Formats: sequence, C-alpha cells, structure tokens
Amino acid sequence: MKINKLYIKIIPLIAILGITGCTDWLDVKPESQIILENYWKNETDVQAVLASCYKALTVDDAVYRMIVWGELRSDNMTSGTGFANSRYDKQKMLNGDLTPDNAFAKWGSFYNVINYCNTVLHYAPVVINRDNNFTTDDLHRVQAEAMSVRALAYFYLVRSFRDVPYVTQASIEDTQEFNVAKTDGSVIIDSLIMDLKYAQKYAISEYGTKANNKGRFTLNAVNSLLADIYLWKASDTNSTTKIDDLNNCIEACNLVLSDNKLKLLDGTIMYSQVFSVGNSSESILELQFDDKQQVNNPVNNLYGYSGDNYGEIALPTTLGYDYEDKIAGANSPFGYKLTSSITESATDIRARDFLNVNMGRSSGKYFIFKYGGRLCTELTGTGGISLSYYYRNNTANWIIYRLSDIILMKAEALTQLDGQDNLKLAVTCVNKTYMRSNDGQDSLRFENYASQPEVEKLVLRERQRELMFEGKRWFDLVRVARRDKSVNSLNDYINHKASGTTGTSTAQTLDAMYMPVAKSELEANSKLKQNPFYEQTTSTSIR
Amino acid sequence: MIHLNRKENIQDNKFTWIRPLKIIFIFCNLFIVAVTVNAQSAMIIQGKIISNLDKEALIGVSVAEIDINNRVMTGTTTDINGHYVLKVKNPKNSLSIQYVGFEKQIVKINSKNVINVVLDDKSYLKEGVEVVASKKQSQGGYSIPQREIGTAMQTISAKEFEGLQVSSVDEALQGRIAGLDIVSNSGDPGSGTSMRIRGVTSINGNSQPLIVVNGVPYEAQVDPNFDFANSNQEQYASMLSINPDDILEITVLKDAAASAIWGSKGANGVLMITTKKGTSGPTHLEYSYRFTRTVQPQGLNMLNGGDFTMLMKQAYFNPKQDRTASDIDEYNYDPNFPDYQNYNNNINWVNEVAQVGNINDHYVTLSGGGERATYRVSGGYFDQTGTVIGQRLRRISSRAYLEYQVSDRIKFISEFSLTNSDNYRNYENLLSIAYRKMPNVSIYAQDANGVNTNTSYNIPVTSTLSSDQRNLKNPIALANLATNRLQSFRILPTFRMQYDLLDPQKSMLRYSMYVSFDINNSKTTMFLPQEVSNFVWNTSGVNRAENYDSENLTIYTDANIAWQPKFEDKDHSLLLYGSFQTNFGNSASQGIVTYSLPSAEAIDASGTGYLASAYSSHYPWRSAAYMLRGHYAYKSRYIIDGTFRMDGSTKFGAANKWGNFPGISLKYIFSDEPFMASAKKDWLSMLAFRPAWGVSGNQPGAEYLHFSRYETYGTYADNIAIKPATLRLSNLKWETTTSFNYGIDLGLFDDKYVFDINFYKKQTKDLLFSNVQIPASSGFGSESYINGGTMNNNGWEINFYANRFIKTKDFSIDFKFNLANYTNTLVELDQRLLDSYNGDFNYGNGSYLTRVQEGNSFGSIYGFRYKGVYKYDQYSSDHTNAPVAKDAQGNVITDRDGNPKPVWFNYYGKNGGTPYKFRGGDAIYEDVNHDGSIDELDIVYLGNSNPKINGGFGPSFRYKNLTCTMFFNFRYGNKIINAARMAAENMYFDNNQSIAVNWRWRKDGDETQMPRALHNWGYNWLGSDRYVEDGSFLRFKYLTFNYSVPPKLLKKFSVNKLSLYLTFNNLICWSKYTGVDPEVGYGSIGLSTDNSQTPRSKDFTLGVTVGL
Repeated sequence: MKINKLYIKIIPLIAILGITGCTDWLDVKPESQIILENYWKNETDVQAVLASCYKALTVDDAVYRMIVWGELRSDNMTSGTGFANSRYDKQKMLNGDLTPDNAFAKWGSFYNVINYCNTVLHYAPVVINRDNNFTTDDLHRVQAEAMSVRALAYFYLVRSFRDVPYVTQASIEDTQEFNVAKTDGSVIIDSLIMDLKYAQKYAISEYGTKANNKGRFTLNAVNSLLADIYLWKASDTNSTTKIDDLNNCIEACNLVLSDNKLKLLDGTIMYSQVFSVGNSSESILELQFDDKQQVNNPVNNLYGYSGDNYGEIALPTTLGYDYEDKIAGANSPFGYKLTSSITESATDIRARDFLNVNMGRSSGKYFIFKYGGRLCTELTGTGGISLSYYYRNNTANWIIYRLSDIILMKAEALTQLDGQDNLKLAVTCVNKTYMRSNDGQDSLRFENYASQPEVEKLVLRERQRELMFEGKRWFDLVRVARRDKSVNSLNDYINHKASGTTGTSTAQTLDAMYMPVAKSELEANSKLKQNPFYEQTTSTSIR
Repeated sequence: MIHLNRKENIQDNKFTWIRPLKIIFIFCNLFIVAVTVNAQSAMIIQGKIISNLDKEALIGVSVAEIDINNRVMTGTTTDINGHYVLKVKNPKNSLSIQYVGFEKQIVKINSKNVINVVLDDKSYLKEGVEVVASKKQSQGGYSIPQREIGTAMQTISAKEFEGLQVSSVDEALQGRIAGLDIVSNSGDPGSGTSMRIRGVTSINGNSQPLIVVNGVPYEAQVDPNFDFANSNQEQYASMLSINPDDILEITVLKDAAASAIWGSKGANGVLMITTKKGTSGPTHLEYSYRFTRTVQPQGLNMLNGGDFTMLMKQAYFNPKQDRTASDIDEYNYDPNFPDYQNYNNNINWVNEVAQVGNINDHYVTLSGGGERATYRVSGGYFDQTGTVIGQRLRRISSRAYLEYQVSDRIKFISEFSLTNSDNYRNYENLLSIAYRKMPNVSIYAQDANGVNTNTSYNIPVTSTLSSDQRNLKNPIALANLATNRLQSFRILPTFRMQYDLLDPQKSMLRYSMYVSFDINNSKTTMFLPQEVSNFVWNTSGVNRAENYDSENLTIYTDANIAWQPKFEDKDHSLLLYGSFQTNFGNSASQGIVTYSLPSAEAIDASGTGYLASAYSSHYPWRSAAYMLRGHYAYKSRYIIDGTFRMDGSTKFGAANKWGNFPGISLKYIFSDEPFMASAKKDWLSMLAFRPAWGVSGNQPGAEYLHFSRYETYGTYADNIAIKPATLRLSNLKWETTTSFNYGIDLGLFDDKYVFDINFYKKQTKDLLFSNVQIPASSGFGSESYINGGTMNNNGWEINFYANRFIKTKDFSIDFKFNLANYTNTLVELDQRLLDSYNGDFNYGNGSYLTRVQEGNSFGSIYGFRYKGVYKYDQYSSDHTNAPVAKDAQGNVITDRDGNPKPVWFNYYGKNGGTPYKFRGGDAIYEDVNHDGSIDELDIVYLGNSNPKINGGFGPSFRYKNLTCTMFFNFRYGNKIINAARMAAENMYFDNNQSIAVNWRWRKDGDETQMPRALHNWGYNWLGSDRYVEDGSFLRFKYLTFNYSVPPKLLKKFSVNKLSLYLTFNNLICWSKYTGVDPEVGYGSIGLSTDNSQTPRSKDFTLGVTVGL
C-alpha cells in the first residue's frame, strides 16, 4: 500500500525529469536573421544579395579606398585642413611614408564585395529549380551583373596591389581553406576579361528606373570597364598582345560611344547636372547615395560638404588656378602654357567649377568643390548672371564611369598605336571634352602636338582637368610608368605638388607604385607574400 | 470546489515544461491535494490559556490543530479573556499553542473537550542555551557537512563582515579569498569590478565568475548586437549589488571538482551568494544608513598654460628648426589675435571636472515569522554622485524572502528582488579629455576684455590648430549639456517547492524544484548637443540622439531529487542527487540614432532629423543540463564525492551540442583516526587531505554560431539588400578546463590556528578566441569564434586564520593571512593567433614588441634599454655624451678621416620605416650590437608582468563592543608598462603633458633624463625600460572601527540594536612605482599596461544600524 503510494508520487516526477528529445528542443533558430538553410528560395533572394554587392561598394571603407588608392598619392592631392582621426594614415601616404601598417593597405572592403558576388554566383543556379519564375535568362543576367561587379572590385585591387589572392569561391563555413596565395595581376586581368566577355553577352541596357540604370551594371558599364581593363593590360610591357588590347579597348569604347542616349552635357551645366544632381545623361556607372540609407561620408570628409566647407584634401597650390584673376600655379593643367604663345585651357570653366574659387582666394588653398558643392545661378540686377557657390551636397553619387572618361580612354589607346591618323584621332577625342568647357576658345590643333609623346601628355592633361578628384589620376600615372618601365615621369608629375619642405610621395621603384600588403593580412594568411618593395632594406632617402 | 479543482488538475497533469508558470500552478494544486486529505469526524474543544508567571489570561494566542506531520488543519486565537473555541477535524490530532515570547506547547487532544494550558515565559530560559550543530554546506537538497567537503572552496559568512559593514559584495570579498583577484574597472558609478578566480582560464573576454544566488545561476545574457557602453559590465555589477545586509554568506568555488556542478558555466569559478532568511520570532525592524565620501586623488600633475605653450612652441620648432613652424596663433599670446582672450588662460582641467563624490545608502529590513512561516523583506535607496562632474547613480532595490512550511514535509519559498537604477553617466571620458586638453584655452568664451560669457568655448573648426586639440570637446560643456543616461530595471522572482516523499525522520527522499525569472530591461538615452563641440549644427556628430532599449527575459528551472538513506550502521552515510535544469529566454533590443535634431528639442531619437542608424534584434536561446551527484562518507573520515553533468546549448551545432563535465573529490580526515586521538585532544584538531579532479567548461558569448546567417543590409537604389553576415562554424567545441586540486586542511589547538592549503593544476583546452582575424580575402574580416589552443594555470594558495589567539575576558585578537600565486603557461596556440601576437617590430614610438611562445608564460615585456638623453649634439673629446656610435669597448667608431659615426634609428629603413639620425637632446637607447643603428636587434627582454607572489593579511581586535579590523594586501615582483606616464611625457602630440617635462633637454649641454620636445617627429618614446617599472606594493587597504552599543543601555529606548562604524578605504600604498596606482590588471596576453591617470579613490564610510 505504502509502496504503491510512493510510486504514484514518483512516477510523475520521473516523467518530469526524464523529458527527452532535448536535442530538438535545443534547436533554436535566430529570429532577426535568416539562416542559409531557409534562404535562396526564390528570385527575390537572389536580387537582394545582388543588391548587397553594390551596397558593399558604397560603404565608407570602399569609397575611401577608391579615392585614396586612385588619387591621394598623385599630384592632384595635398592636405587641406588636416585629417581627423585616421589622419596619420592618410598623412603618411601623402608624405610618401607608406608602410604595411597603414590602414589603407587593408583590402577587406573590396573582398566583401567579391564574396557577395561569389555567393550570388554560387547559389543563384540553385534557385532555378526552386522558383519557376526564375528562368535561365534571369540567371544569366544575374551572373553577368555579379561577374561585372566582381571584376570591378578585382580591377581596383589589381591596379592598387598588382598581385592579390584571386578568390572565386563563396565563403560559407569555417572548414574552407581561406589562406589563398597571391595570383599574378596579369593572370587576374585575363580572367576578368573572360568574365566581362560573358557579361557582354547577357548584360541588359535598361533596368527601368534612372537610379538603377546608372547605379548598376548595364551593357555600357560592362563595356566601359572592359575598355579600362584593356587599356591597363596594354600598359603592361610584358604583354605580347599589346596592339590587340589597344584595339579591343577602342572597340569597347566605340560600343559605348555608339549609344546615342549617352550625351555630353553643355559645359555650363555640366557641373551641376553631373556632380550635384547626379545620374546625368553622360553618366554610365555611378554609386548611388542618399541621406536615408547611405551618406557619402568619404567624399564629405575629404572634399567638404554642407557641414564643413573645408575638406581634408585640397589641390596643391602649384596646380591651382585662380579663375577670377586668371593666375595659374606653376604646374597647373589649367591655363597651361604650351608655348609662349599658346595657352591651353585659358578660360577653363572646370577650373571655376571643380575648385572653390572664393575659399581658394581667402585661404590661399585650393579647396575642392567637385561633388561636395552646388552651383547656384542668380540673375543680378543689371541683367548679368552671377554664380554663387555653396556647399550643400551631402549625398553625392560617386561616379565610376562617365562618357568623358570613355572618350579620353579611347584617346589614350589611340596614342599608343602607331600612325599619325591615330594621333590625330586622339586629339579629336580630346577636343570633345575640351571644347565644351572652354567656350569661345579655339579647339586644340594637332599641329601643336605633332609628336606621340606630346599627344600622350595632352591626353593625360585633359584627363587631369576633366576627371580631377574622381579617383583616376594615380592609375593614369601608373599606366604611364608601366609603359615606360620607369617611375621617372610618374615622379616628375608627383613632384609638381612639392613646395617648400613638405615631403613628397615619390615612388622609388615600380613595385613602390603598388600598395603594401597590410600587416594584419600577412599575419592572418600564411601564404601571402609582401610586395617586394616593402620588404627590401634600403638606405636611400635619409632625412 | 476544491475537490472539483483537484480532479481537473490531476487530469490536466500533462507537463508542459516550456511554460514554467504551469509548473507552479501544478504544485499549488499538489498543495491543495495535501490539505484536503484525511478529513474525518469533527468535534469542538474549548479552553483558556494563561501565563505561568502572573497567571493572567493571554490574548491573541494562536491555537491550531495539527496532524502527525505537523500540518495545520484548523486554527484560532484566544479572545480578550484568554478563551478559545475550536472545531477540530480529528480527535487523534494535537493542539499546538504558541505565543510570542512563550514556550510553544503541543497537547494531544485525545477526545478531551476542554483543554486549558499554562504557557511558560521564554525570557527566563533564554540565558545559557547553547546549540551544538555541525555546519552544513547546502545547495538545495544537496547538503553535506562542511567538514566533509573535499573540494577547494572558501566561505565567508555574514558574521565576518558584520563587523566590517561593507557596501557591496565585491568589497566584502576583497582580499579575503586566496586566489581571488578583484580590480575595480573604473571609478565611474555602476561600473563594477572585474574578478578573476585563480587566474585567467579563458582569453575570449568572459572571465568573470558565475554568480549563483540562492542556488540559481544568473548569467549575464547579452544580445550580441547590444554591446554599447559596457552594459554587460553594468549588468554584472548590478548582480553584485545585492545589499550586504541581505547576505548570509558567500562561498567561492575555486576548483573544477566543485564548479563542475555548474558545468559549462563554471570554468571561471563560481561565486555562490546565500541571502538571509526570516527567522521566527517577533517582527524585527532594522535600519541602516551608510554615508561614503569619495575623493578623486591627485593624479599626474599637468602643465599650466604658460609651460604648455612654451613646450608646444619648442616641440613645433625643434624638428624643422624653423620659427614659422612654431608660429601658431593659439600658442603665441599675441593680443592682436582675435581669439587672444580665449587662449591666455590657466585652466586646470582635471580640477575642473573633479568633484567630491558622496554616497548615501539607506536600507530597511523587516523580518520575523511564526513557526510555519517566516519572512524577510528589505528595501533600500542608494544615491551616489561620482568623483567626476555630471555623474549620478540612483538605485532603489528591494528583496523579499517568504518561507512557508505547509507541513514537516512540504515547504514553499518565494523570493523576489527588484532593482531599479538610474545612472547619469558622462558622455565621454571627461578625465581623459581633461588630461589632454590644452590648459591655456578657456572654459567659457571670453569677450575682448577677458570676461567669461555664458557659452562654453570650443576651438573653432577653422582653427589651424592640430585636430588633436581642435576637435577635443569641452569637458565642462559635456558634463552639463550632454546626456548619457542608463535606466535599468531588473526583477528576479523565484518560486521554490520542497517535498519529502518519505518521512524525513526515517530516510530522506526529497524532491525540490524552482522556477526563477530574470527580467532585465534597460534603456539608454544619449544626446550630444552642438554647444559642446566645434561642429556646425547639422553634422552627424552633433545634435545627435541615440536611444537604445533592451529587454531580456531568462527563465531558470531546476527539478531535483535527493536521497539520503539511513543506515543501520551509523558509520556509513550516503547522499545521491539528480537534477535536471533548463535555462531559456529571449532577448530583444533596438536602437535608433539620429542627428541634425534641433538642439532645444527633447532628446528623442525619433524626432525629426537624419537617421544615422537603426537596428532591432530579437533572439531566443535555450540550454539544458542533466546532473548526477553522490556523496559517500565512511566514519565521516573517508569521503568520496562525485559529480557528472551534461550540458546542452543552442550555441553549438549538432556535432557538439552536448558537453560532459565530470568531477571527483576525495577527502581523508587523518586527525580523526583513532590512533590520532591523543594528538587531536592536545593539539591537532584537524588534519585532512583532499585530492580532487574535475572538468568545467565555457561557451562562446554568442548564439547561432553554427548557422550561416543572412541579414538585411539597407537598400541600394531602392533595391532591398540582404547579405550573408556570418560564416557557419561547424566545428566549434566547448572550452574545457580540467583541474587537479590537492588540498590540506590543518587545524591546531582546537582550531585556534587554521590552515587551508591548496595546490592546483589547471589545463584549459580548446580555448575560445573571439573575432579571430582570418584572411580578408575570404570576404569576412574575422571568424566570430575559434577553438585556438591550450593553456595551463598552476598555482598554490595558503589561507591562515588565527582565531582569538589572544583572548582575555574583554579583549581578543584574530589574524588572517592569505598568500597565493600562479603561473600561466601557454601550451599550444593556433598558428594564426601566434602570428598575430608575434608581429614584426613596427618601428613606431610607444609600442612594445610582444612575444607569445608555446611553453612560456604570458606577460613578457620586450623593448629597448633607455640610457638617458644625449647631452650634446656634436661629438668632441670633452662632449662625449653625443649621438655617436661606440664599439663594445666604449670607443667611438670613426671613419678614415676620424669623423665619428652617427647613431641612426632604423638605419636600414626596414619594414618601410624611415631612418632617423639622433641629435642632441634625443633619447639614448642602448646599441646592444654596436652597429650604430637602433633597430629591432637592440630589443631585449625587460621583465614579466606576472607577480612572484601576492596576498593579503590583517588583524582584527575586539575590545568589549568595539571592533577594529585592518587589512593589507600586497603583490611582489611584477613589472608594469606605465603607458599613462608615456602619454604624459612623450611631447609628441598637442596634448597636455605632466610637469615632469619641464625638466626636458632644451639646449646643448643640458643634463637631464627627459628628452627634448619633438612634435610628430623623432623616436623619443620608443617602447623601452624607461616606462617599465617594478609594480611591487604593499597597501593598507582598509581600516574599520565598529562599535555596538551594549543592549542594556538601549533597553530604555526600546531599541535592541545600535551599531556604528567607520571605514577608511585605501589608506596608504607603499610602492616604488611612479605611476598613480601599482594595482594594474592584465591585458590580453598577460601584459600589465597602466593607462590610468588617476589612482583608485580614497574614501571613508560612516554607517549606523538601528534595530527595533
């Protein structure tokens, strides 16, 4: 009796203690995130990760690098009001004191983009079987876009580091091998060309909205990138296919130029339409910013914006041009004295619009107006027009390719081909961008630039005037050095900004043109090797 | 009605343990079942109750019918004449008659109809009663005699700090537990302390011991997205903020055999807090008040305005030897400079932000109860102003403990605690700003006559001053105008039930369970108005509001059964225990940050403005554990204990979901052997050996690591973006610590002298490392967790107590002493981690080379040897102290023409560095290899941060009702990197410096140890032994006086307790260390780096406790 009673009491207790199936109970899934097992079900999932590929390009770390890698060390940039926070890294680069612990030697933000692209390319084919609305054509379009974004990211890396790890696998779990050795830059370039040729087949011309048409890879954007990559490849003196590369570049440019929806704007409205309003008719690919989702902080901080007119960066005085008084710095591309009688770009509207004339006059520095500022046209009482400048743009789109760039790429490719005709054609190209900003001036005459080196320099000068502060200049100079197999002319250009005792960022060897591999990256990846320049012991340049 | 309920509920007994409320409900019903059985024939009894002294009738006496299990059946109280009438259910039952102050009586009813009782006044019996009982260590149903414990644990009872009257748990423990290291995090209110038991076993950051309150393990569950402003630390601190008045005892479990019962949570040791319970007797009211006054001691003395500007002008001039370089308006004292008045001041910023801190702590406790039910309810108000302006913490806390004994076999306990705190914190670290801010700039904008206006002064953004200074906010404005407020609300209700399935007199089979809730909500409000910085109103940095909310709910349940059979042979004793625990909950948090808000508007991030960021997250977690324990003792002298625990957690994937944590301890009480009887009688009261072995674990701090997770990533051109956010960690394992502990208990002369000695060896495998960098080419900067290595901690501890070793009638002295040390050895480490720790020398100022080697201990410091300052710039025969290379014999190295070879820094420009030629006034570093180049080849071993020994000691004196306690602690033989001094003496930035730099080298021939000022130039503050100092110290930690007013004096005021006390904290510290405080914690790889510019505060507390 008593024992029975005991059992009656114990049995429910054992039941309580012995609840099994705990492993199931311990299988909890996150509620504010989606797990991989529940993702990649339909086209929306694919499109959302694809959007991340672009989104990752707009983060501060990425845009900073587009500017810093692409232009900071060039003659176009010197320090403005002094760098906040990470100033030492930027200041050190400006001073030519580039070491592996510099934050800008880190390339992670571009590999984030690459990994998102790889993830799309890895999983998108799976979705075909899961979503009937996602057709093979849709898949091809997605692949074309992801490959193009990936190619753009790798192209930045190759231009800045030359040899980098070439990863095409999506990173999914910790058992994968993440230690990947560098691949030769020229090998990567060939792969990128393959990818872009695939993208050429499937890329579409229109996405519907303006922001998408300009903010994502269209066929024109694919061709622009392809042209840029061919031009880079052709500057490699080891390449056996130089002529083919140049012709391929010109062909790709021509494909873009043949699209009559792309138009160069009139010089007077070019500034406000292209840089202030954005998504203009001459734009091909520009990263989209807005004040709710993504403010363009790098541009704001480096170039100035409505909160702070003084950017961290300014144009060196020696390259400046006082538009009011028509006084050019010694090495200015504006008001350039070709000979004692011929002055190139004497009244260049770009000197007025790309630089802050007023602040330049008061502070003696040429602060940047491009991107950060807005131009305002006012009718003055006497019927004339006066311009007032103010900074109000906080969300400037960052332009990767626009029509002028393509025209001048073509010009540059033409200068590298033999024959007077090609040189003449190059000058014609230059005149297209030159003339719209030099209203009332005579067009540039071929006779004044009869030799190949002169035309080459002219193209370079026009690229400097037109694409100033668009993250292109350093790469332009590196292409020159690659062709020359010497850093001399590159250093000559950089020395243009030297004044007084401030250090310059001359590159000592061809390797020194490329960034060092970040110290932290070398520590994390045992297979990586440092850029030889930053390993070697050198006793030169003693202060 | 009751019967109906019962039936329904028994049928409804499908136990859904995901909803714990139901558990409570079911047990409530069990209770009802118990009450309603055995109803039998009723009868009426009456009688009168009188006192034995004056034979007067007693009014309000409780008369209750109880059954054989002492369960109350019915009850009544006597009327004004002492009469009672009671309808009893069963004449076989008894009457229980009790009245406050009188002896309780139990009278068998035996079918009597009239029962008169005379109660005895207890007050006469009170004197001279001595209760002898062996102290037991209790953990729920598992309670074993203290003397039979074989693991390393140490208990501090409330009695010990009753004489001390501490203000928090950590203070009570400080210095009293061998092997427990407590270091304050900072002087800010609410920031708490960091505790380490027996060194650091985990490198992943979470090294705090587990806190167990009344058997419930409270873990700080923090949403990984919610990591702002050390909220984790504050949560931990709030757990420790249990009022010391409520604490009965604190037990620290040190070895894994003991902490294995907490399995996966116990690797860092366990702190078990037991709170006081109500005691039966008349209601007792106690009020205590503590007043503490805290003073921010004088830290480094900083330069005044004149000295600072002089320094800056030299620092700018020196590198370029160029006047224009040092022509900076703000340093020039030029009356023509428009802002002249704002830069001609002498502000001691540190004094401006410091204040005297006060703590007012009120606490009321009400306790009492009858035979069946006891209660203890307490509540308090705590109000602290910090030692830095703008800091204030207010806290209301309350705790209730109710115990109801339904019968001899069923007991219910309900606990409830609530803490509501409101903490106004500084927006930024004001002291850190104050130490850096230039002293010549004014606090308030000054007009042309130098008169302060109402607005605070910020250096304009257009100033050409270095951004170090320019963008430094005005600390006074920050304190007064910026908001950083943390409000938190924490409720911890616990329900317990205990049921003896068998008659406890015969054999114990006890089922116990609890359900405990931890509801923890917090809200952070931050606002930074434009007035405190130089940014214009619409930049993202200012007029910026941040709101964060978090809600955490954790539910802990435990159901356990303990069985202790009674053996015929009293030599055997056995206790078996099984338990099943669950822990589940969820956490939700959200945050929103906006800027460009109109300044005047209230600080609400949902106001109009730009949205900087917004997030919300919500996630649940679960864990479960099975545990078996056993305790067997033969003759109470050969003892074995075993534990096995299995932990399962949602933090791991299928492969490693469950972790096993066993533990065994043995104890042999040698002194109890019969042949030791004479020794035991004479001198050896206790000698016992206790070997123990156990495994405990640690888990990562984040959930869902075994999933590859995707999360939203804003939009791009109106397309919604989702990105893969994490790598799937398929192989992540539990971090496990295996420890061996060898302990000796030794008691001499009837435990007048007690030694507790422990040796231990701990090995931690699969060390968890968080955020380990992986190649960025993977697209992920880091892997959130890896199992990265193995580490050993070996050490020993000695505790010694001398209990009343000098004792007269009115006077006695106690003495306690503890000594401990451990060595930490790295056995194995993932190559990636080794590489990242063992980076190349970076040729930069201020950094020390780190080396972590397998087989060595952590904490080794490497750097240059500092040899003073070059007195002369150019070498000549009478100016030998100049920067020239010398060979091993000390002869100057010259070229063919006899020109001396200069000394370079990094002559070969290695690692991208730039060579630098030393000049007069520069720091001299020893050129170990005599090559004329100071580089990584000249780096030598400078010492180790691990102390050779540390410990504490202190006597306490008792004279009648006055107690005086002293405590000292010390550390010996460790090296500290004095980074605070480095920052205050480097003369490299625009920051203010300490007055020591007034001794700097200024002109050729100056003989000094302080190099010249070089702004952003040179190598005068390389990591060298200049900043490595001996950290040995002896500190007079506290001195307490406690006086209890004798009860005789109090009786006429009907007060039964009045005690006063006074504590001085941190009285004196003897040390050769030149920094502000030699008690410095350990950094990530065991290096002690002192970044603190202020020593720990000195304070005194005045307290009074009144009992009614």
